[in-house]
Amino acid sequence: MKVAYIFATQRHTVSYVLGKMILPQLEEDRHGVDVVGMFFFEDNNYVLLQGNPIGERLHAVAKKKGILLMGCDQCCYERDIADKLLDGVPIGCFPDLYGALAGNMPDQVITL
Amino acid sequence: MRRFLPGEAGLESHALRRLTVHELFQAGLRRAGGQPLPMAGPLCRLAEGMFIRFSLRVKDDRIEAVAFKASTCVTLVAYCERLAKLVTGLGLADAIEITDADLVAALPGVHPAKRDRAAMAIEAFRAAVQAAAVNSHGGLSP
Repeated sequence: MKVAYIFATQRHTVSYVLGKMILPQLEEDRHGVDVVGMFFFEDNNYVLLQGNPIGERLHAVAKKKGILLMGCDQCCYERDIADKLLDGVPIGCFPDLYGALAGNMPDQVITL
Repeated sequence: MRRFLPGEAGLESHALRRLTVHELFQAGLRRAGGQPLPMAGPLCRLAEGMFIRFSLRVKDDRIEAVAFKASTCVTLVAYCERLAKLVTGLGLADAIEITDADLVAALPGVHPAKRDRAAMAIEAFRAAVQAAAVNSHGGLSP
């Protein structure tokens, strides 16, 4: 099964759910599904900054497994971080997300 | 050396810090919500289904005011707003010389993959300037 994650809430989802659950499982190849993409809203975008410890690990595993990482463009601009993200990580809005996933559609989209 | 843009002088002397993409997007949305100005350029349809249309108020070949309607892409609107601020007060002949590289340089902080929106804004603006020049006196000198 293919899934995409949308990090939409400010509920400890990056440092805990991603950082201590999803990411270690991906690194250990035991997450259980194929993750095709992750989209980040609001302050969750800070994980995509160059040098962020969780982000750097996520970036490495995403490159290895072909996982799309994308930040919300408005959220990144609001925080003035759009040009400071991990190398090659795009920003965009829903049309960009749908377009980027069009060739590898998820079966489930999970909002955290 | 980066070419000095006359329209920037007034803005930079008043602004003590650079305007961010976010701030320009907010200002651009307000500008885009207003009424178009008398000299409207053509509707330019762009990649990814986006569009822009600039309109101008021109007096004695000088741009008094700029308006635009654009798709609500944050980067596109920010570039349009930055361009509007740059050209207000310029002559048509000077305004049409502004390039997409100038516009990219005038708005740091844009994601590298989104800087192509500058060329879209410039293309639509130049079309409006050409339309205004034709309306005024048959066009701009080559």
